[in-house]
Amino acid sequence: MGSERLEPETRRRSLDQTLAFCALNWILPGSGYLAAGIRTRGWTLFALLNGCFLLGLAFNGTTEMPGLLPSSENWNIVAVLTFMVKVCHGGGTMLLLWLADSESLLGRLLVRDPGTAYSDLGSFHLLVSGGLNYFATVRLYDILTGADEDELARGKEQERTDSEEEKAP
Amino acid sequence: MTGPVYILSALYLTLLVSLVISVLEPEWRNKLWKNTLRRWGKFLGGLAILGVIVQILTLLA
Repeated sequence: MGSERLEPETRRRSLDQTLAFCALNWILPGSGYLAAGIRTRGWTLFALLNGCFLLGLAFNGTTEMPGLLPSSENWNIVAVLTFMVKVCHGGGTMLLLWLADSESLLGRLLVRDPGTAYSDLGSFHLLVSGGLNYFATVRLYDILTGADEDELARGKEQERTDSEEEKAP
Repeated sequence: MTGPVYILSALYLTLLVSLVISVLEPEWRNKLWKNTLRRWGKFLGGLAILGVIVQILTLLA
């Protein structure tokens, strides 16, 4: 029966609260889970996703704003899609964009040279971190709106129907 | 040194993706590592097949 148990801290929230936790999770991966009281999963995601982002920075990963309109000179569909996925790690990407032309100590520390050997690899780590945070945020929405319970209830109902059909002659 | 870094990164990133997907499952605590390793194996297998196809097409080009 243990496999059917939900996390004890998980409970349905109002839509406003849910959206606030999702926004928090978008800005800093894992933080939305922690704020909602889902601690183990929150700390796990916090460490995994932010660790990947930091590793990307250690590899000199960069984020640059592409031309977003097809009419602009530097428009490129791959660059636009890549940027959209990177933006899913909201806080980190916005910080990098904000510091892009900064001469401050933080700017010099976080904004890397895109021409270095592992810069592409580092940028890919930032991309993966953003993409996974998209899934984590969408999942948090499902958990807080109770989709988990509905999903489990539907699964149990289906199992019961299947077993009844098997027993029937 | 470039090659090993890319290979290790591929192993790390595929493991990360597999682990995060397993953590996001509804009953994630049950069989977490078993599910993660199963996904990781499939992921690496798929990538290896793609690598072989790309290598063959490169040789044919």
